[in-house]
Amino acid sequence: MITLVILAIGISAATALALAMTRHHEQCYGRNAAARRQPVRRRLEGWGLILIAAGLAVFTDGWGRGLVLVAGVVGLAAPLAAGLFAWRPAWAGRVIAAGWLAVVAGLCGLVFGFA
Amino acid sequence: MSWLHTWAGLVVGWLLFAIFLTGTACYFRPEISAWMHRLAPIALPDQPSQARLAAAWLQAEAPDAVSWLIDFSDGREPVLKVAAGRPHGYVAQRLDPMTGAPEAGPETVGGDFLFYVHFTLIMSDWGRILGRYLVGICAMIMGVAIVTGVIVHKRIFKDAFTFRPRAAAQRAWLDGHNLLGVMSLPFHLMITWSGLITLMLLYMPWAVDAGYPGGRAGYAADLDGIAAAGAPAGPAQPAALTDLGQVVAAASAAWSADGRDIRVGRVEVDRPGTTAARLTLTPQDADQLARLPEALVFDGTTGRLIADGRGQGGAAAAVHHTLYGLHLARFAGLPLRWLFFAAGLAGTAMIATGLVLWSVKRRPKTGAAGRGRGHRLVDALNIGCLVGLPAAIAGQFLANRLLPADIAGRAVLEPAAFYLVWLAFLLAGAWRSDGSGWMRALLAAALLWAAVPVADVLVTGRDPLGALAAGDRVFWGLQLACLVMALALGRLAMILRARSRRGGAA
Repeated sequence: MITLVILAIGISAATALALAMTRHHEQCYGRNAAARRQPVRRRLEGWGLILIAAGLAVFTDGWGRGLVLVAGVVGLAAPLAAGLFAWRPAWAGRVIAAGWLAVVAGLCGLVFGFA
Repeated sequence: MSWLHTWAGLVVGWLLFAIFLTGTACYFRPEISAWMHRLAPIALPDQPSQARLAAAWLQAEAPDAVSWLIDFSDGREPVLKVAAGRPHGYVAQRLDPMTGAPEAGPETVGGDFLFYVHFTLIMSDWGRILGRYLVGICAMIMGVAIVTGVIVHKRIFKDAFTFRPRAAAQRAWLDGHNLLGVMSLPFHLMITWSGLITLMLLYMPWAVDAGYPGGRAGYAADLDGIAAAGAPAGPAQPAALTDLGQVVAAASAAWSADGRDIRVGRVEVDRPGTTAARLTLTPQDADQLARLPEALVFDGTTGRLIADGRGQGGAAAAVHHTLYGLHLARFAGLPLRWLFFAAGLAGTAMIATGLVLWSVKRRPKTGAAGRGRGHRLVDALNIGCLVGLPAAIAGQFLANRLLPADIAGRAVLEPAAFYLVWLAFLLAGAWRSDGSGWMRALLAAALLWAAVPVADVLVTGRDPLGALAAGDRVFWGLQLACLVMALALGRLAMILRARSRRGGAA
């Protein structure tokens, strides 16, 4: 279960990192959406989500398996994010929001012992 | 560099595709084995009682053996594997862990066939060494292709998330190839390098031979953290073997002393039934990422602990065990194993897209002369391998279900089905290697995969809903995996058909 949460966080992290790039931002919000463009924030958000996913994985699975899990999740999440921008670019913002929900769910799971 | 990447990839691409595809399937080797041997899920009895059953069978069948091996299940395939080495040969048997009797059910190669194809390319004696060398050469060239691929991909960060499936064919295939290659790069590097490590004693034995003039036994003992077994003093007298159950329980308790839960993986019995008997126990691969060098050696007649390898191995042994453990991924729980499987599929798809790209890039312009001979050969091999190999795996599964249960040489006929289906697709590719050849091959492969779940239910008479209620993960996993394969291949065939109708080429 916690693996699915980590995978969801990984996908939204990859989406945030992609959204920091001009090409994918234009795919999502159109050509003239410069007002919404915050590359630095998106990049920080992406790396932050990856760190949170890594923290969750290492906390639940230990250093060895946890780091292997994060490497695997990011490697799978990035092509999925690329597919998202190829076929459903408009969903990017929603996917990132879902990632933060997954963070909340994961932390709740840890605190209340669902994981 | 670009030239090197292109031609290195093309020369070994088809073999690499076979290696990656079978290797990816091997992440679920115990499950595939359980499916082919038609084993229902059971709650395994505790290890000491399994050890007693195994010892009883070996005592009855191979009392004169020089050595015994007992491999415990890690819970994924409900079977107890025993083997005995005699001076004049080797006998192996799969036992039912509940009763200790040899496993009933039709003879089959199980998941072992795909496992051996993965690193020998063929499952026979004469291909044993040659095949391993071929696979090693392929792995080395894979390493070259990975490094040169990173170098020739100039816009590696700029194009990080770029995928344009609706662009021109060459652009779309290149995007896909780059995306799969770059994003799973850590996995590709790890799997290629650690794969070479698993067979390093075959490829580069000289360092070990120089370091251990006394032979490989000393090297193996160092990996396990124990001293190599010395020659027994004096001739061995007959003596009864100690109770294996107690020894297994003691070893498991010793490993689990620090709060981990580590089971016994393997028991090796040297010279059973004599005063010189020694028992070497190693922990279960599934319980830790790196199998730490911590073998335990017990006296075979008294059951006393005579050597303790815990905490004895050096850093080199730990590095070896970590790389080996990462390659086999036996430590991975179910979710992590699916991730490994996905990464393996990404690697397989990366190789496939690279091979298709070679052909798409060189496609003759409209109005120019047709494809040259080399180009036609690549296309034929692409159909024969990229579509034929997945179909061949389905063919092997189908043979397992459709062959009569009592037919002689069943375990040879299943691999034969694999090679025959592969050969059929190679011939079909040689006959028609254009768009319609691709379409028909994909459709045939999709039908083969779709036939597997149907044949499974018809032949074994298993009730799918009953399997769901009983929590039969293996049954449902394979049913769904076959359906997904069938749908994916069928979808590709439909995309090709739509494109050919529009007059474009894929």
